Amino acid sequence: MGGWGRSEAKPQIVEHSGGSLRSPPATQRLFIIMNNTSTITIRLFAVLREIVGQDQVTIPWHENLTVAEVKQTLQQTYPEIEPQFKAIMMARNGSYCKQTQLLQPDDEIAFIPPVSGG
Amino acid sequence: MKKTSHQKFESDETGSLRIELTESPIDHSELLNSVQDHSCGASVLFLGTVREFTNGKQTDSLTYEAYHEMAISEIHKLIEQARQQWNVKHIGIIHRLGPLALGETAVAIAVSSPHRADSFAAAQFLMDEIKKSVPIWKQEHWSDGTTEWVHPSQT
Repeated sequence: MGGWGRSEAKPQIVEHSGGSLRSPPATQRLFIIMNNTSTITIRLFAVLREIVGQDQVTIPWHENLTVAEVKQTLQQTYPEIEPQFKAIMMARNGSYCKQTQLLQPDDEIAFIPPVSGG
Repeated sequence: MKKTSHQKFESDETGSLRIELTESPIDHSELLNSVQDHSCGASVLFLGTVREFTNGKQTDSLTYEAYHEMAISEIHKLIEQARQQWNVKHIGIIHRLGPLALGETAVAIAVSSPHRADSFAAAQFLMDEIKKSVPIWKQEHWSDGTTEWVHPSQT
């Protein structure tokens, strides 16, 4: 409980998006059921969405969790995401934030690759 | 297929703002009409359209994707900044999402003001800043069959 990401714990992503829970394939890298745990939702877009294969993932929250830690977790879980993280921006609950930003339970974090609207 | 649309509209005695994200074709005439006002001697309409060639590579089509809620709020912030810097009355911005064919309008910006300099400047500012900070992404579908999420530095 709450100790994730601090010491020996492996990155854990508790569920994926897309509506219904599907059974993960045997090779699924991430599938850990956490009960009674506050969570953070990570929204994924464009190239990040394609790499992860989902438009959002949920991870457990713990005290003093920062955006940087969430970023590190995602990067450890999906090593192929690393080149995309060089120019990444981050947002918390719909506003740009810094890596040092502390998170609260139920926060929504977005990793925003370089934008190209217009 | 269901067409999604996200929008925000605000209006007071100093003017109005309108922001839309839509998967339907943009009616830029309607947008331009919506900013026109007897107190304004100038209305500017900017259209960003799907270009066929980029640095010699040929585009078949584009797909736009957005972080809807944040795109609306970031565009809203830009409009507030524009209204602080220039004497503009009405601002309307529509961004298309989903698949677009060559020549289709990806973004339309309409601005009205008592005098033309303000509308020109605000429209340019809004378009330039949208490309920098608003979470909307463009995927190129090149004519050679490959696809690519394009970064602004490459365009």
